[in-house]
Amino acid sequence: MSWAAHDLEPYLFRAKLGGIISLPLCLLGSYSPDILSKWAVYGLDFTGDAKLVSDPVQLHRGFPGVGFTHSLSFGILCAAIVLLASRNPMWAFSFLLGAWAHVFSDTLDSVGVMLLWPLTDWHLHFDVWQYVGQAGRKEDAIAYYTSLGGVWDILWAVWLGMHWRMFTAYHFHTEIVPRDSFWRWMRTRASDAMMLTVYRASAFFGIASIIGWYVWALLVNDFQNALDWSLGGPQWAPRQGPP
Amino acid sequence: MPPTPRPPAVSRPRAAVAFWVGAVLLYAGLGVLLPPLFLLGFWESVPFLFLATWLAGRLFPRPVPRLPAAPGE
Repeated sequence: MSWAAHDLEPYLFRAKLGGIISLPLCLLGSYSPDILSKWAVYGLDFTGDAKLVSDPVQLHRGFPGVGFTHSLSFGILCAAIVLLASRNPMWAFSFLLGAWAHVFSDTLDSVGVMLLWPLTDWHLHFDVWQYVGQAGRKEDAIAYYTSLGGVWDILWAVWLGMHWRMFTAYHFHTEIVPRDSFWRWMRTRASDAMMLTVYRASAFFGIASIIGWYVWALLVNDFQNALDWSLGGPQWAPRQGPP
Repeated sequence: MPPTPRPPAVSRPRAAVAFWVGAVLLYAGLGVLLPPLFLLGFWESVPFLFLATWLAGRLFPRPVPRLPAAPGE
């Protein structure tokens, strides 16, 4: 699985594709595959001791389970619902792009995704880093940020940093608000500071998380606190996913 | 010829960028101290970000441009 990449990818799509992307809907699409299942995968506490299901990997990425949320068809179905409900093709396309970006990002771990479900439950997985979600949030954070997963997050953060001007109030008011009816609707109901908070929230949390997790995993935490940028790492984590 | 005074518009964006870099680092620092609360809790970051946004609006004020009126407005 990916961590902050899911928070940051929609901003890059907005920066690169411009006014055809609705950032709130793209973010919603990006969150959609995990929004109902991640808490059950990790359990109720930080350490992973308070497990809720016996096979978190099967629940998260398999079928039976909710692995169908990580498929192309799930994104299409949700985008169709968005289109029917809103009659806004931009919102539907943005949702679809966010959802598919999440799905393709998650192909990089060892479990991968059922890309073509319901046609097949075959998993597309590139094994760039190890899936460790079954061990709980704490161990997954250590594994992810000491492996190439953390590099994946850094890549998106650096790329987004090159577009830092999109987070200025000036850019928001002149480029973002006029092109998306979501913000024009919100402007009649929320203060300027609240709108900017909503606009920046996912990027702020994503970038602060990357910095915080790296410092914590390498300098504060005392379990496996060394970088392992080998393909399929970290090597201490047990292999998960299809062969 | 008297020297031209330096326009404040140059230093203000730099100060704003420094403010936001500091805000991100401060939140990351809180996360390092208490990861389950700050690094896992997206919703916990929202009040912090709102406070930073409100403060930035006071420190580096910008006029909000008016949108063209929609039909019927």
